[in-house]
Amino acid sequence: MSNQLLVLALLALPLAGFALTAAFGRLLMPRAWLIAVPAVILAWAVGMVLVYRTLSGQLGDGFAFTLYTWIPAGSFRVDVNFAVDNLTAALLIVVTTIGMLVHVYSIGYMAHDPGKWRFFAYLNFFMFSMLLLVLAGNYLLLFMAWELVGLSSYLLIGFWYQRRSAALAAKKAFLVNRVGDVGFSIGIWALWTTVGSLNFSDVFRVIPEKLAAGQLQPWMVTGIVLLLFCGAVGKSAQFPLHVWLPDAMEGPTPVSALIHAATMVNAGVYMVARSSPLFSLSSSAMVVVAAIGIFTALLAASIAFTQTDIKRVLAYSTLSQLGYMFAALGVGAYAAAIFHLMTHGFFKGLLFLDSGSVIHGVHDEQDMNRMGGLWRKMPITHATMLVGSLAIAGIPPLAGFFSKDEILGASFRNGFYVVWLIGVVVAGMTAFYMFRLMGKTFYGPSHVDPDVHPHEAPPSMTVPLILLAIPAALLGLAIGWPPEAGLVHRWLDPIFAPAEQTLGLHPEAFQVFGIDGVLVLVSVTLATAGLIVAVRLFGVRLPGRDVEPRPTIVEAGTARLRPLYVASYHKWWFDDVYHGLFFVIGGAVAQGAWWFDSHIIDGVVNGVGAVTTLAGRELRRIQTGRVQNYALGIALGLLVMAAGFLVATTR
Amino acid sequence: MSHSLDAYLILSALLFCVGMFGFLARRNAIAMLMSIELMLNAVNLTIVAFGAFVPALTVHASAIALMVISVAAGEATVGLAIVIAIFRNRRTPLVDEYDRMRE
Amino acid sequence: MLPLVSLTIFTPLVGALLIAFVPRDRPQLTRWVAFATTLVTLGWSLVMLAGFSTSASGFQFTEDVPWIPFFGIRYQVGVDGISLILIVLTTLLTAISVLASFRPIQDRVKEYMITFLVLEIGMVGVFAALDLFLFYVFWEVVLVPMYLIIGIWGGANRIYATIKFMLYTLVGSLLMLVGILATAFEYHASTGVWSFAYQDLAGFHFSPALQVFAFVTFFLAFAIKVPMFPFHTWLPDAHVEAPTAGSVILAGVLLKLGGYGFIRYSLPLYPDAAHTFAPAIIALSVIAIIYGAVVAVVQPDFKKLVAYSSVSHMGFVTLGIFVFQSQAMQGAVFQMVNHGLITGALFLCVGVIYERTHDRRFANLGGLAGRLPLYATTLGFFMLASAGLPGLSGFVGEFLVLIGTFAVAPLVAGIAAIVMVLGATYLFYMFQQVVFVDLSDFLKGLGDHLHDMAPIEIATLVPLAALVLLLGLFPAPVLDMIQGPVSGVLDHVSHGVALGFLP
Repeated sequence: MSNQLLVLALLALPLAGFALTAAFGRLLMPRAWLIAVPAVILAWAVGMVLVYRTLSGQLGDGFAFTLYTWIPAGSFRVDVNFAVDNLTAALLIVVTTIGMLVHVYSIGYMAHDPGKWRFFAYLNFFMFSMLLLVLAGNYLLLFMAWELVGLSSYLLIGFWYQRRSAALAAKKAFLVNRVGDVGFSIGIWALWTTVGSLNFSDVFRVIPEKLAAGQLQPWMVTGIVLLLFCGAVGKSAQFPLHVWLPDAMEGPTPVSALIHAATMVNAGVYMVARSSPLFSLSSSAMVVVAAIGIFTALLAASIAFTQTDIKRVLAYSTLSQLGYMFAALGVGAYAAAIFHLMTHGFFKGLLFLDSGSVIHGVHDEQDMNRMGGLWRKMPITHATMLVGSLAIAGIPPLAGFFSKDEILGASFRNGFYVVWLIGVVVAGMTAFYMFRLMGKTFYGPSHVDPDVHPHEAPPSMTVPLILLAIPAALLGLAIGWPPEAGLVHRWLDPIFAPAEQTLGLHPEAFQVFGIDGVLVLVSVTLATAGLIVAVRLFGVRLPGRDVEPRPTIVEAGTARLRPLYVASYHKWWFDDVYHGLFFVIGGAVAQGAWWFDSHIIDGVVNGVGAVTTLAGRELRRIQTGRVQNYALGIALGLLVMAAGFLVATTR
Repeated sequence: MSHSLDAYLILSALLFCVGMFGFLARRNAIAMLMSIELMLNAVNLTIVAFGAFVPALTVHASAIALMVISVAAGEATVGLAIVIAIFRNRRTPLVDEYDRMRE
Repeated sequence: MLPLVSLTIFTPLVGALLIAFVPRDRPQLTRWVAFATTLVTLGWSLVMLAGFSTSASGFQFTEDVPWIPFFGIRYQVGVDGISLILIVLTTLLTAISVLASFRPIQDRVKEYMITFLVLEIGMVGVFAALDLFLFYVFWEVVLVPMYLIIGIWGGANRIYATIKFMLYTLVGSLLMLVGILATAFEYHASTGVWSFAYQDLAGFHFSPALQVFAFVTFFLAFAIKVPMFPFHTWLPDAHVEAPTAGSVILAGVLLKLGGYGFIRYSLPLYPDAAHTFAPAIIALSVIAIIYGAVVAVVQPDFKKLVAYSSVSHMGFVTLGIFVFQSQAMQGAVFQMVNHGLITGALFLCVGVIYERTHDRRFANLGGLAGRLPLYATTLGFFMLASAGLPGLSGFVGEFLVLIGTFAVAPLVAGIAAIVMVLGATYLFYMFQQVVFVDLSDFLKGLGDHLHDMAPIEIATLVPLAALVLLLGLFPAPVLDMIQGPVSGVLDHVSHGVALGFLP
């Protein structure tokens, strides 16, 4: 098959799956997945062929092609065109693989849901949108896919629409994203106004040229990239638009795994990485990106400390890890950011699916205070989740270690010492809250409702878990070794070379016995320390013996750090502030506007009407209905006229 | 007996005023119709008088007078018919009661 | 060569006469005759569309017959890309509205259908007229049937609403008549020839005083029709009281008359005045965009919410017209088509639910997704289209308007962009209130009355949905059609200079 056909097939398969499942899903009902899941498996196969062809270098720098002209309006012209290069391929690996596994997992997870045909239709629609996002060859098509993934996220968060909380969370997710999208679209308009085209290739060629020729002020470039970055902040849930992601956990767990951990939330990272030739032109914008990223990493990690809902802990950890990626993009370590995106996609997808398996096993209970001791009942889930937790904690040689340390190392070497320092601290915090989660869920005494009998998930769920655990453990080693020179760098360095050149960064060899080795040692030490503290406090199962949790110490510690605990527990009151700002104050403004409309503007209109009516009513008194009164009027009028005539003629 | 136009005009003005007063003051529809006839005749008298005294107008005046007489006849017929129609409905000849047009 | 434009205009008249001969006790026959008439009319307009050449400049399918020769008034009709696309929109929406009236209208079916067909004559005529006087005549022809439709077949407070509508629009249109006459007088005074023909007047340079006077009178007529802030308050009342089909036509076509008038007459005839007033009109448009959305957020009534959303969406049309930029104006025309399709469909959706519940308050609705899945899907589709989801037609128009505006006035576009959030806020709120959560007690009480969409309702909404999707993915044919006329209008405008005596 030709490459173009592959791209089209990759998009058409999930789209067809969506259309057919939406149309006929109800007829298939007990097995609503019959079309959707094979479609995605086929798409995965097609995607892998495309990935292989691209990454093996058969296609050179990749290829691009135009399907048709989408919006032609005079000098404005946007095509539906696609561009495939190594960056696309890296994303395709994550999207198609995790997408496929989540689809398979959902067969078991959603087995008893009466509306699951909708679920599979939406999920297929999401796959289509996400693939379109990755394959798009211009900013407008990217924006379209951007909105479509937002829509599928909305539909899937609100999948259980009977629950008020789900409906509200879905709406919140879409609206908060829209706030970021305002910036994104203004950025797109600005790009077109300056470049006259929205194709990636044209934009990345013209902007640096114009900047060099002085036709473009540096502040304008900074403005444009920061506007684009607004969109990324919304979609990837960075501070201050991070509030939607934890609420998005109202959706079914496979959705959280696929959309809100492994793929869609990475769209912002992808977009910024794709736009690296633009971002690298403005060092101040890069600093903003790095600052927002690392601040979000810290903020989210601090909140994850005290949450008790298992999925929310994972959601905050996703925020935190996305923060790492933005920090990497901000310090110029683009390849490291994408590397972390890939590994995070796998281990976070795995963690979410594990949490789904746990929730499934304890009958839809999400509160970790009502779990505990589950490792015995759910061995596969426990083992795979342990792998995922070690990976995210950055314990060598699992996947997270390699990508996270590349980010930290790059921030130090590129001179962002604060980013490095916070990053290392967050690494320790990550290990702590992840093993707090593990301890509360799997170890120690059971707090499960006695009526509930926890059980391991069916094979359709455990097989994807095992399949995901493999890359979560080994992906780092496979593509990240040797450090700074692994496969992932061989794939991505050509893509980011122009940006790194602009930034003046020169790739240096990794020094195991130099500064890099020391950095690795520091971060691993901190992560291990966090892990050990968590294990001592919340328990663990070691071969041969159990470490029991120590709730009294936890309580004493919490009491001593009461203000921090309260702040973390209330998520630093962001939701409350936004609620006050937008619902209370914004609602009052809207009510005021309506009052103005119906009383002032319409009041003037009705006032004019009322004055007219009143005048009519008063003047009506003249009309008595008596002919003689009228005749008198006629006679008097005649007299006046005659008198006037006489006066006029005699003068 | 002086042959002067003024006398005829004064007489017709008086006649007209009597008619107008009757029209405005009487409440009986039939009396009002008679008053209208009076006013019309006053005008007719004026016209005929002018015809008698101004030679150039002799023929025209007669024609107009005849015209007025026929119009007056028609007007009286229609007017009376209306009054009788209303009278059948309202059982009164008094125009004060005829105020439906006001609504 | 058939006189296609006249056929499109006057076929409804034939249908109306036919209906007059249908016995009163055969309402079903009346309905079908009316529907067949609108289909034939739609057919004529589609024949025109098929024969239309996008490459040719100027007007096509023109017909020209002297009407009142003493004053140079002619029956002159013809179409260019802008008017043709709006004519097709009109004939399509009329056919759909007649179909949508089959069930809701049970009283005075005969009168209703005749009124509706007469309305179509006026609407198509306004878009096709090339003579200013003829334009005015058709403009007023539109007014009367709409007055009757709201006043006779409307809701509880229909008399208030219809009189408000009538007086409001009449004030505007009578002033416009004065403006039209003044324009013709000045043309006569300087050339010695009487003419109301668009082609004569558009190339003529009128004196600044006349331009300002005539522009203001035209502006009032068009601004009320659009409706622009602050002349919009007739719209929510009229919509709330009008029957469903009336709302569809009101939102789908009548509001477009204003936008069309601006493009066709205000700009080419009075370019200097247009330049003078443009900043103020842009400001009013941005206010309308934001303000309409803000007010929509707190509406407790489904239909009122959609009505206020019209104020917001039509703000994009006037904004796109008055920034005098090619992309923006194309976007404005495109937005008119979209708004007709999408808001028309949303009003049909409101009608579907009102048919069953006789209630439109959000407080009483909810949870329809479970009971009426098809309805919920349809409503969701048009809700997203209205929110400007890329891939559906609403996005293309808004995007072009905003990107064009950004090219000449970045700040204005930036402020208007806030509506992306506000629009999504009220639309998603609406959707959540109607469709999500559990079925409300009020709806539970309706029992079997609450059934999913009937075939006839599906038949009214499916063509609109298909067009919304098609125009969202393949807007090129329509954009090609309006490209030529838009650049023609902008050519006229580019000769204008702002007059100095206003700030």
